[in-house]
Amino acid sequence: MHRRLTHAFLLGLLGLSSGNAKAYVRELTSTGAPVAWSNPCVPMHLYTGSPPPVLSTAGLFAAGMAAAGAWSFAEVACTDIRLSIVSEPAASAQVGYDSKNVIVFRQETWCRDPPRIDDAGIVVPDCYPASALALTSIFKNKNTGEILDADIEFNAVNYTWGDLVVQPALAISNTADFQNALTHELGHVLGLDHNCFTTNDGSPRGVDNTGAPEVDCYNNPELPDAVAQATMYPSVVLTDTERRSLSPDDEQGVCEIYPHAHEVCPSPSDGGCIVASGSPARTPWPDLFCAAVALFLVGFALRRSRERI
Amino acid sequence: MASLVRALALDELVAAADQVVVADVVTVQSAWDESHRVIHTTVEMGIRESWKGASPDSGRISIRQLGGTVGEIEMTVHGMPTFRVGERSLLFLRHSQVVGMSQGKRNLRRDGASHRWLVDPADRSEVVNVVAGGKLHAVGPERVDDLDGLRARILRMVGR
Repeated sequence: MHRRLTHAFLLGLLGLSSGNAKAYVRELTSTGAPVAWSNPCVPMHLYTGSPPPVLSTAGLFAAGMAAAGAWSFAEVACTDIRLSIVSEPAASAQVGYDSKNVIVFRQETWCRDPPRIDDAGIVVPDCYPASALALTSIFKNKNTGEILDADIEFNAVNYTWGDLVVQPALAISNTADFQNALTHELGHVLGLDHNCFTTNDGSPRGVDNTGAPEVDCYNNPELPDAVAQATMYPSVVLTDTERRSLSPDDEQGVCEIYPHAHEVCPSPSDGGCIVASGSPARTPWPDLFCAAVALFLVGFALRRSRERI
Repeated sequence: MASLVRALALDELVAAADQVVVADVVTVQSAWDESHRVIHTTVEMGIRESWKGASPDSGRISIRQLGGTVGEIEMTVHGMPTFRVGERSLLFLRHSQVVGMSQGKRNLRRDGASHRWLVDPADRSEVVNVVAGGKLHAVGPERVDDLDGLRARILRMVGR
């Protein structure tokens, strides 16, 4: 909030309009392939068994559902994405390339699970920087851009996570809003990059969806409000809650990457079949598999009915 | 990647680091871990200058971090610094990891006109400014620094 007010104040001083950019930036692989899921139904397994202090199990799940819903059909009518939250009763889980997308809190040590085993067979703690509040790891095919796995780990060792809308008094402490952070991270999980240029690490400046070069995030008095207020803006104040809801730019991104094509996505989506609304499926193999399963079930039912006769 | 990291000012980076060095990237190698669950990248660097901490006799340091590409599979952890063979950078390291993720790596480049080494700002993506005791602790955007000037500032901070 503070940053947005400051930004609006600066724009006012400069006599600039707030801008009306309709831009988003896609994440690319190292070979330049745009990153996306091939199946629009993406389950995220949220481990609710031992929520960190301040958050309750119900609150944790509700925040997860709200963050996932913010990016998904039908809350966003023009997208096909259905991010679903699968509540897992365990306290935590390992992360990694296993085709299971997890959201976990690390509460005992801010380290990788499982720990590393070195060449001599000795277990070596592989800890993350204490300054990191959350880490999101995404596995994808570098040639096709297909996302294969996405995991989010929250640091509950060095930080407290809460619901700063329900408990605004927590904002004066070192507490971050879980739903706000998760909504931003889920944007990355869907293949969206930050919506402006931050890096000085030698990477070339990217382009937005219009083909225009990314605008500078920082030291840029002409930064449009539409960029600064988007969920995919790269920097926030710890107590921010405004990224919980998508900006028009964020919505445009999730709708153009995943245009609405299906009416129903059965739950659970992992292993489930998409009921097509007449539009072609994104990937033929899951639907062919579903069709084969459906034919088998119809055949089985017909056989059973004949047996009864 | 997508990650979130607390914004660190220069004095915090220096204080948190057990080594502050200017180094050149010699090799970058990625590999799956023993359980084939995550990819790690090992970066070998040749130290050009050491401003804090002991410099190894070999003149080499090794950084190991999450993420990288093996075969067709790419693992990205947003907020982690990236390294390219031949690049020179100022690094804030702790236990052979970059402090504050991308904030702890600042690339160096030679200014064509003055022939002086310049230090680019760090990548401050994913940074979170902290409110402590009801007061915003915001770390402002960095600027391009002259290497000589930045060296002098950091050496003062570490008491050298």
